[in-house]
Amino acid sequence: MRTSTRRSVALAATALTGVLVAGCSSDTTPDGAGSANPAARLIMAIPAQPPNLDPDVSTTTATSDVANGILETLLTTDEKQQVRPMLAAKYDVSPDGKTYTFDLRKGVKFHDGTDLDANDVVTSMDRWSRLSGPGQTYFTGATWRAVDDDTVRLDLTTPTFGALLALANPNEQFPAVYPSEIITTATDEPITKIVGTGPFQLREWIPDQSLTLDRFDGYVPADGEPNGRAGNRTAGVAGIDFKFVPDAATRVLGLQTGEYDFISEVPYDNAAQVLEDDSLKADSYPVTLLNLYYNKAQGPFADVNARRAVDTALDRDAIMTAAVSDPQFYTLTNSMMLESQSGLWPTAVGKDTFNPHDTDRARQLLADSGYRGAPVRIIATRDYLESYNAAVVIQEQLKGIGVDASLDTYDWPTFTEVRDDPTKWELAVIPNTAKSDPGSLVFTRPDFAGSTKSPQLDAILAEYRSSTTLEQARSHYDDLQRWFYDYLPVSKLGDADTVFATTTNVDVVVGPGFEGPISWRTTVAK
Amino acid sequence: MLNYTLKRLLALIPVLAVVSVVIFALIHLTPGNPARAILGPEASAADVEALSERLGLNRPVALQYLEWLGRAVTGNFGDSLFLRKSVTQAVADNAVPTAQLAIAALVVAVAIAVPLGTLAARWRGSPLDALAMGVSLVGMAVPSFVLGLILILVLAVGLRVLPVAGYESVFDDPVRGLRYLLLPAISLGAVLAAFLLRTTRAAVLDVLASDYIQAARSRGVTESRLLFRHTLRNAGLPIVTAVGLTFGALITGAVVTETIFNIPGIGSLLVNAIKRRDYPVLQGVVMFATLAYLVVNLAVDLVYGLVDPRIRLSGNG
Repeated sequence: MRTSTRRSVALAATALTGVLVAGCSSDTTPDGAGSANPAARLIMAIPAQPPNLDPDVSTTTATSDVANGILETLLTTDEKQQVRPMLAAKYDVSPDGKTYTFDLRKGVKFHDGTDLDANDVVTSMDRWSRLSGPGQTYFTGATWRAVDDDTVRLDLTTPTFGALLALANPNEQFPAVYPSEIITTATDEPITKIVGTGPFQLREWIPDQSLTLDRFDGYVPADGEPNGRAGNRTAGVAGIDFKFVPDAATRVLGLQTGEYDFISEVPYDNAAQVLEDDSLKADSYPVTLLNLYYNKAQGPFADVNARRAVDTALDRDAIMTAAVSDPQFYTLTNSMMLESQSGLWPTAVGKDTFNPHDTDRARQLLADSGYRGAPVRIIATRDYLESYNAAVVIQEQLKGIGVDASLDTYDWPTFTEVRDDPTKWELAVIPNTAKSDPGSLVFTRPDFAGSTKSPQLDAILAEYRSSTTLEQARSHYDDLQRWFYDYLPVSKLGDADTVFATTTNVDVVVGPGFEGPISWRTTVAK
Repeated sequence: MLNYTLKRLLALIPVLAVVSVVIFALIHLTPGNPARAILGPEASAADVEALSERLGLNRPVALQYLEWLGRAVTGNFGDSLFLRKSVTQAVADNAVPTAQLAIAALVVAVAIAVPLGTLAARWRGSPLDALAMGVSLVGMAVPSFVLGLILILVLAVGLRVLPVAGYESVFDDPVRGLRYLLLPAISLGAVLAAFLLRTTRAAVLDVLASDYIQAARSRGVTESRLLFRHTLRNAGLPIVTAVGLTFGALITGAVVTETIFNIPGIGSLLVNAIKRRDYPVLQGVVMFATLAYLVVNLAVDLVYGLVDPRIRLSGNG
């Protein structure tokens, strides 16, 4: 197990210097991989194409990972996860916290050559508020309107700190600004004509084969040096060629032979193979909250004591080691969120009670719960091996305290349907994507797998969401943590990393928290 | 011959109809929902339900089938839910790489199997025969993906003479196209060669034992003429059948080979459609595969007549 938030997996320093000989005479700022060549293209192999590129609609990481180089937001975050303006030149919040005024940057152009104006922002934010999860949470009833061509005003019904956080969110369902012409003709289905103001523009998408982005030559950067996602976003490469390569071994071999410069989602088992090769480097960042869900609608785990028994029995180090193959790719934390988010969401609640791994007490708790040997079906999916691998170990650990546990595995599409049916499982190992806002964690939703229903939670969330400052919200985060350990909607197993690898001439900047590589800051020395 | 061909073509219709019903039912009875794939794993149940409704997935399956059938008979197989194109277009686009791979693999297979199988039969029991049978045994035992990975490791990673994976049409860029095609064609072709080799050897052995070969030999026909003109031609039927069946399997998509070598063919299309529950594409690909299989079988039957004049089929055949 590791404790640092993120570190390089192991860079072969000698190999690095070796690659510098590549003879680049570019006059750009030298960096860790030699002289970046702004004329170079980055060839990137990713496992699957995104279902679409519309973050208003799609909740998948694949969508936001590609789309956030194309589409931009009013606000963004810097490397300390502080909110910074992006399409806005500046923003003001009224003393009552209900009115936000955004002054737009002047001269910003969309990829189709039209100018960004307040009307584009208003129509885009209206659609996003209506369709996206964060939009529905924080902006229902809010009004967006154009004061003049360069000024947008947002009126909230109640003040909330979450508004800024959601507007600066760079991850899934980020609030993208499209030209108003696209929004006014769009339906609730994903938008297919992806035009934004971002550093990259979409050139071509060949379904299931490749997606090509070119640097947007008309890009108008924000002031300031690059800092996290804030500041100057001018693309470091001439373009990115995404290749969709489902087979992990092919991705790794293609990286070794120079077919690709960058591969994402290296399977944990293949990471060692990458590290042995001096011409490659690998890095990882935490992004997955691996959770054990309890079916609270029916069956033995409707009883909180049975949930507590399981939570007490789990040996999380063994589970996470099996899940991700190598202790360097996981972190254990008492927080419902990622350990790497503890800067923004610090909490000590649960530190003493997290991961007790006490089988005797677990047996006692199980007996007290009234569990009488009913079969317990654990469901998992092999499409996310960390889910399956963890489930195998959990099954054994639960048998150890006398639970009659069996394991049912499904392919991912079937899994997503089975987990919504409380008659089909008792325990489920679900890899959840991290969220920038604890109020958006999916296990707090009554309509999500496991059927969390808790009036206490509803009260805490209402208080939390109406916090006007981050400090206030943080104090409610401690309340949420207390509820989490009291109610046990899920047992947090651990934070799992995503591993990526590049050739040594590629320099990657990884964002804070769980943001992963920042596309426009990636450079190639060729 | 024309009558027979027409009859056989008409007989395809009920087969296709039955397959379409079975597949439609299977697809819609399998758990999973394309709306969930479009919206992502953490979309709310209400949103998934609303999109399912808009996509028409909540209507009775029988009704959905009849609608599909109504369109399908006019040649309209609907649009993919993910690919932003029609199913017909998707199948047509992906059939090109698959056809290139199938033909290349078949060329590799025939080039290895027919000469080696014939020679092995001619010198039965010789070291050459033992070698050929050994090669065949290994070829049948090694799955194509294992061979593919070994070839990648040796030729692409080790010697760096060929690319690891990818696709380029040989029509657009013949040299690059062939470089990409070579490894998958060998890995797929070698495995097929193992099967064809055994068929060829057995067929040639059969013919070699027949009276007319003995008679020809006694008349003083040279060995090479005997082997390649008399024997191989007469041994052609089972070989053509085997080649035909193999080709049928190949054009319906070499799923694993296409995945390893990242070839955007019919196999990849099918796998991706299953993963995403892209119902229209799934239905379309299976219908296409069925039709391809049936047509190849029919073509093989018709080729029999060309290979063997004794069974040249009449209108009453």
